Amino acid sequence: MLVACVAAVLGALPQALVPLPMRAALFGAAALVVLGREIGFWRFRVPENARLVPEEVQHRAEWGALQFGFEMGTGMRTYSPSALPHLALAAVVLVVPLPVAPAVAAGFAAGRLAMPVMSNGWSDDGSWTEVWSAAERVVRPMLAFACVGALIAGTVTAWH
Amino acid sequence: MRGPKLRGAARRALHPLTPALALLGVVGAGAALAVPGTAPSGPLLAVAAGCAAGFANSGST
Repeated sequence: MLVACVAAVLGALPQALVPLPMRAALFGAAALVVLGREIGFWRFRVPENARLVPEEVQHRAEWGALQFGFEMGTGMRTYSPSALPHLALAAVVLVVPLPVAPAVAAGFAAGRLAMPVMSNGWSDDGSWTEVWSAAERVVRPMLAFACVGALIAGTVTAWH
Repeated sequence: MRGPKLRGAARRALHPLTPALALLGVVGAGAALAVPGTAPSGPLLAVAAGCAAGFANSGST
């Protein structure tokens, strides 16, 4: 939520100065690149800190859990197996209207939460990892189409 | 308790395909509503986009 709000504030300037068709074209190009990556047409690294928040952090005094969530949620110390969060961030800067940015952030948080909840519900023996690995090649492109489709449809809506 | 917690339909519903399919459905419905002059679906699409990004980014855990 914090990242989305900062990005939305930063994006207010280009959104005020650059015409929507130009911003939409730029975002569309980025969306195609990311879609290709998620489908597996090409590979490239996305910006990530590639470190995990140490488990001890969440046990620190009363703010430990908050610090853990802050560091992981803002990407300060986490891995990024997908480029979709970067695309969502680009959308917030380029095409998503400022009042709608928190909705993107809330959706991201819900999606981020869903995986551990499902893993927990599946079993205690860690077998969810195998389920995810088997489904990943199909699910990742579907999620990419959902994300890109939603952002493009939302942009087209804002256009009219 | 170790091992499977759920069985049958409940266990199948927990498959990673379920949220992916649900999100595609929501986006399809949102895009259909996004026809100019109809209900504003911007926030719905924004939530769906964020949700797909969050789920894809969380890997296996």
